[in-house]
Amino acid sequence: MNKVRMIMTVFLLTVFSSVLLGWSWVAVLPPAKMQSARIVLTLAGLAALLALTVIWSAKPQKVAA
Amino acid sequence: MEKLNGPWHERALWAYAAFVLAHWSEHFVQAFQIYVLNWKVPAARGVLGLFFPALIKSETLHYGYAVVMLIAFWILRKGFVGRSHTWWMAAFWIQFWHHIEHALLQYQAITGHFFFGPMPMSIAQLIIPRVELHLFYNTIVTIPMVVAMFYHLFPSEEEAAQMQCSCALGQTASAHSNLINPQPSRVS
Repeated sequence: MNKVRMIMTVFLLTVFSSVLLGWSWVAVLPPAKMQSARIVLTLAGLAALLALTVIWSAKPQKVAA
Repeated sequence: MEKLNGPWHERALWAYAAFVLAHWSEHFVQAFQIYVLNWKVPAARGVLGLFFPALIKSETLHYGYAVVMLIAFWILRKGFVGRSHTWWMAAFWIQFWHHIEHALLQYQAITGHFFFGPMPMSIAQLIIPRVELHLFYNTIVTIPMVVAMFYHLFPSEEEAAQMQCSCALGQTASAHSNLINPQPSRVS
């Protein structure tokens, strides 16, 4: 389970990093565009964190034979 | 179709995941080009777009990808049960809206009748810049897809009993995850 979690985590952290970089970069945009871009980027970042929480809070159990 | 949601489900999901990741890699590269390398947005076309600029500018490519994703979400849905089905269908409905946005762009590109300005624009693009909007849409479609695949690979015992495919990896995911969808539901 942890191997799958790690692969998914690498992907999710890459998404989160892109969002963080975007959040910083949009400062060059006009204020209205910057605000709307930051709102959606924040939502995307939160979604990535939600997914990380879900996959790491699941507790593994062996399936009974 | 039954085989696709049964014995072929695992292979189909691998292929679909690879397809989605290939698309994401283009967006990661594009984000890097804009946010880190400070390229102008029109010049930041990922990897494919550097060699085939016309391909990436084409609304048909974007619309085609959105449709293929939507179809794949739909035809592979019956292989998912319980929590994974809930998350998979959430991804489907979000992708449905994403596809409507691309359909609007595609219509404008084909007819030359632009709704909101001098170029094809979607509804959300009226207030949100295209690159960030696309990053957002792709994220909120892919996140429930990732969670669905996680629960599909590690189903609860009840879910595993309902599965017709070979995707489960031999462990179940339980405890906290039950808070998110307490009652495993059957495939609709």
